[in-house]
Amino acid sequence: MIIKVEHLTKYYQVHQKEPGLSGSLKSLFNRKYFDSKAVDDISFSISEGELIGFIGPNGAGKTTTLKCLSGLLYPTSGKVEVLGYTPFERKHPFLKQISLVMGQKNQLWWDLPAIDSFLLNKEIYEITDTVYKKTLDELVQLLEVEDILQVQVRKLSLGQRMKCELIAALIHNPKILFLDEPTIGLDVVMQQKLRDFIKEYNKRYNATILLTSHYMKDVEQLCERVIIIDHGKILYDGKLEDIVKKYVKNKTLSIVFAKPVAIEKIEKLGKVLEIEGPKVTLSVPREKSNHVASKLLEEFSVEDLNIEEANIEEIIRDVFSKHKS
Amino acid sequence: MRYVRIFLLHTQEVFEERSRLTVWFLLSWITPLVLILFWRGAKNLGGWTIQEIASYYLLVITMGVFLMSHHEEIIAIRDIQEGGLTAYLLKPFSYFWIRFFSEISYRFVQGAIGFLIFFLLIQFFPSYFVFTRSPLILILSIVIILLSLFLVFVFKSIMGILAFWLTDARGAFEAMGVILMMFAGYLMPLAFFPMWIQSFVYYLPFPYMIYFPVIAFEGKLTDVQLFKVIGVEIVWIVTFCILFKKMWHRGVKKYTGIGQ
Repeated sequence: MIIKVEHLTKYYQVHQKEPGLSGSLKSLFNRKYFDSKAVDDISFSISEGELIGFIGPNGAGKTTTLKCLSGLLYPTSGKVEVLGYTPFERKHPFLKQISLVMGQKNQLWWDLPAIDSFLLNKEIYEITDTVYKKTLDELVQLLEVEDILQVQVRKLSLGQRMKCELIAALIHNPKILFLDEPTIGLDVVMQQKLRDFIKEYNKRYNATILLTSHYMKDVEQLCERVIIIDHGKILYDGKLEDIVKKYVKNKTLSIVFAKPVAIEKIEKLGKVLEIEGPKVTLSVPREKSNHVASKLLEEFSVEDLNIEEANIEEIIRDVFSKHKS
Repeated sequence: MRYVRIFLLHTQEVFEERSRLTVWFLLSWITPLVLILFWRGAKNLGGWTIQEIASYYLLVITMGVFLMSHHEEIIAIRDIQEGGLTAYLLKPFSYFWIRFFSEISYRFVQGAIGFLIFFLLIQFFPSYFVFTRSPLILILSIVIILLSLFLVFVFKSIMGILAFWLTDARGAFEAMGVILMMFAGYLMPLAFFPMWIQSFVYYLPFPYMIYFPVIAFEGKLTDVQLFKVIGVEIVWIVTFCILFKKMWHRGVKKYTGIGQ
């Protein structure tokens, strides 16, 4: 196991103020604090080479978890071990093996071309000339940024800048990569390119990657395993495809009949959700779906039949709302 | 070698930020030039000749641009308040030295320009420039100047990391500006102050930031006094380094506790 987290808890102390001037005066003398539970007793472990997605709404605790793992945050309690180190000590041998990329923060020099920032990182991480050249060539080729390396960073588009940020973060070949919202603000094409890159990077270098994202597409395409987190607690940790099995008990069948049919007969097979002319939408328990489908085809004259899996985004939204209620 | 390369990379950045470079440089010339005009009209110069005073102010400018770092606002605002520090904390390189190399490249570039102007002015107004011709004093002055450079750097770094505790550090910076104006020697040579003020000001770190490097270079200090200045500078540097280290550890824990 490359990452071990046991009962990790992180509370932030937040002070509360009543509205208005009187509230301000009161809070000057008598400040009320309360603990905001950003991460509340979570445990998980990750093996080398895994690509894991952290999903959850805003304020769920995703970024806090990543920050605890990278050593930026001092945990309130619990144990975190990454590559055998305690992240918060931020020992240099540990820092040389990890990288954290935050979609909204940058490390590149604004006024200089990206290549100069890479050179600075080369010195900071003590990378030899040959390794530096090899890594840089590979990354530049993978991300297709040959022509923009010499351009002032402030002149680059957001997508180009994100690619350069990634190079700066990866130039020291980190074993673990923490990506916090890497595709935020990018257009659809650029999002796809970044996803392809992340996947390729994971495969090529067997790097362990943890990413958080708002976009389900990121997670769906990249991660076999997901950790769903909300209100600081883990709601689900496992394979993405198993979420469907766990949370979705029914499948939806949409059938277009060639001739009008007696609805009572259909109702025996499952719950009718919608009737729209010759088209009927039926909800059936997932384990019976195949059986029902073949029965429909045998007994009725069917023009078209579809078995639909629920949309993963909807399922997850459902998981969150169930958790709230 | 690694440090030299980091220094050189930062120097490139300095040349890119031309506007910042020019503004700071021009600003630092205005007050001393006005002051020279003022002293030309004065009768009592406290034993100093007008040439000595003029060269004092001209040296305050040229040395000031070399010695006086301005990185406290970068630390306080860009790094601590706006969260830029996050990226540095995850680098296997000390933040203190990163800031040092980034600031020192500025100082060297500005110092070089200052030196060039100083050299040109000597050609035109040779009588207005009084400075030591003794090799020993010159060497000791250079030691004092380099120590001052580091002293100012550590002091300003401490001012910067006050932002870990202050929501708005600008008030503190303005107060610091006034103190430096008075006691670092920007306004006038500290020798003009009443004795009782002088006697305690020399125990403070501020005169060692501009005043002593300048009068050492002018040749106004004896060998013994020069060594004394070096001694006091070392004491202040060590004190400030210890203070910085303690404050840094506490501050970072606070910073990472809140989670920027």
